[in-house]
Amino acid sequence: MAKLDFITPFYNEKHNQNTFVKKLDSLLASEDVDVRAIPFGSLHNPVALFDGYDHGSRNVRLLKTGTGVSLFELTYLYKENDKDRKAKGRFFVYEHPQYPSVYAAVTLEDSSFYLRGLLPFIQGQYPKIIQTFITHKKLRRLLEEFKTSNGFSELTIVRASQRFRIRETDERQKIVPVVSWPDMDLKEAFDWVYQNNGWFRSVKFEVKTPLSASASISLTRQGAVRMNHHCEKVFAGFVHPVFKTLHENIQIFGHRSRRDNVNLTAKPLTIDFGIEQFADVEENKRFIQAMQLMGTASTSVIHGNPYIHLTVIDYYDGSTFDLWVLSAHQLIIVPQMKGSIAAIKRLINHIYDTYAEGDIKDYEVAV
Amino acid sequence: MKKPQDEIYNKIDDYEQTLHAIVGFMNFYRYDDDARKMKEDVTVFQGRRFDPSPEKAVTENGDKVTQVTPDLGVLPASAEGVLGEVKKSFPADETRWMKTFKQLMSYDDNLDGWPTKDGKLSSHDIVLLLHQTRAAAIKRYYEANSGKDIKFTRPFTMIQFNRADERRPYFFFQKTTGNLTDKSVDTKLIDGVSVPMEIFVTTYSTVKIYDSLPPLAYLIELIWTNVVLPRASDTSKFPALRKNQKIEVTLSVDDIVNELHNGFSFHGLSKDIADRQPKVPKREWIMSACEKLVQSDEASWVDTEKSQIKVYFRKYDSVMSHFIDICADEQEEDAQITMFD
Repeated sequence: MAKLDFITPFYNEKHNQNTFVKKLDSLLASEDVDVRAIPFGSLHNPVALFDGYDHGSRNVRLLKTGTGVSLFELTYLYKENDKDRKAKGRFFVYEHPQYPSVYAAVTLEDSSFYLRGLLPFIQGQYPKIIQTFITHKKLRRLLEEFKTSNGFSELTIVRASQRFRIRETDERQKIVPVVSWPDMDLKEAFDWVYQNNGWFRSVKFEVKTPLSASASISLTRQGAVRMNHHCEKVFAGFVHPVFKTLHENIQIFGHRSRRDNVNLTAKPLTIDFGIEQFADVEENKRFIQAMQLMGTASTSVIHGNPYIHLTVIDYYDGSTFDLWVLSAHQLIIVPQMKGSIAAIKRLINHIYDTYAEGDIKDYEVAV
Repeated sequence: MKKPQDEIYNKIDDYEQTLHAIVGFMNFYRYDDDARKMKEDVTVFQGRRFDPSPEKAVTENGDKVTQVTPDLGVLPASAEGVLGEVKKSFPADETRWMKTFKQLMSYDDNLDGWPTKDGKLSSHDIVLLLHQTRAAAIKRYYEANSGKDIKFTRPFTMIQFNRADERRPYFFFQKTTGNLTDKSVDTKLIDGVSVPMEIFVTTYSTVKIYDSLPPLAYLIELIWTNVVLPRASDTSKFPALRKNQKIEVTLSVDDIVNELHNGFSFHGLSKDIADRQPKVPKREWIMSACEKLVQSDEASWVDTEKSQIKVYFRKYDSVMSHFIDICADEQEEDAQITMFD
């Protein structure tokens, strides 16, 4: 007897944002497919942004629109064995029911479509589209909560890609990628990476309950997920926290441009490292070197010792910032005339990746 | 031997220290220690133009004094005003010190131009804010000449300042002579006050020029980052612009003056009293910066009157280092010419 095809009806249906994830969950129970989702934020309506997109190697057309869920087809060119090839695949844009400006690109297609087509397409929309990132501390917490709240008896990391903020003898910082199969439990793996001044770029893990089949789930620092089961649980445990972070990013990073404020006032932010991060003056050099690694940017050192004052230009959209270190525990970021959400996000992401992670706050004067 | 680049960095640091000292001192009057916020009813200004009284409109040499422009001014709601000068450095030649005191004595006058209804104020203090390294010598000089060549009828106070380059850097202010009329400020300054720099980081980031010529590289960086870049980034070429490519940005000298004035001078703190406030940066400073850009092939003049300039915007890894290098070449050439003069 021929196997029932659940995927075609799924594509044919006009979806609703309130039931979409539940239906994906049901689909995974019936089909041997993976669901991949890339959460993103945008002040532009992605349906309008994507429909009719035609930039040489990639073009997109809208196939269907439901309520808060739209289906697109992406055609893309790529090279394989020195030959030009063309491929296409479908993806949904899921609009978050509560958070405005927060979305996910969701696909049921294979890895090739995801890696050659969808992910580069979404990343290529920067700065109109931003992704966020999950800090090392938060990633650990999400994994622990995912295990306990869903009653999984085991959560085993089967593959991890980590980066280390290496401090070489010449003090030049370098981000070193490492791919490994740690064979460690959650606590041990996270402690080890943290102690080695690193962060997970992605983790792939398996979960099991006594009553259900094991599921394979991947999660990246940018909050992209891949799963073959438990779609609702993965959305609740990982994607929704990332949606929330995106929403918070848009709230806290928005309206920081001086030109948008009455009297051109500045609205600084801080990264609070929670420790005396800059207790040693040598740390200034390390921070400045980390900032000089920022791509598509200008970093000018106005003052480097004992306090730090840098001006940073984002060459994607022309945002500019003054960065100040005037106490041991925090970095102050002052967006200048233009300080877009995307540029603030990219700046902080760079600091977290290459230097250290902290908590982002509104700057308050401590007298 | 020091590199010319280091000397430029030092000059930029001196310029910023003076600016930060002005901000710090003004805020003794502006900042409400109890409420922990800025007082709404204190007016501060920098470089304001005052008219002298008829008695002081002509110097002892017979020269006409049109206006005086103190480095700093404060007008609290219910107290005496303050006018002053800020000196990060003093010339080594002691005979030139009197010039500063003469300037201060020109503020000891029933000046017209206060941000009051009739432009007058019944009395005000006069302050000299000077760097700690010169404070003792200047105090001795003042005491030796006080009552002779140096005479004040209004309260005159000297305050030394120093930036303490600690892990939590701060400006230290301390009175060395005289008394301020505002007792709460005066009392604080007897033993000295440490003002952490982080308190004024927002002001430091929005006030980057005052009415004293900044180092050329510093001024060019301000123009490039805050006037040229926004125009370049509005073009469709900008996001994908490679390092060996350029975007031509045409703008007027007046636009540069206005945009830096509105965004990066004391104008933001003195907006409501703009009539007598100086236009900073001065047009001639911007002309010098533009000439430097033209000389170094970063720009060209559009018209023979030099009112419009076409800047060739490029994406430099470090805008400040790039322009310091350009200005350092000139400084090195100047040094060599001087050696062989």
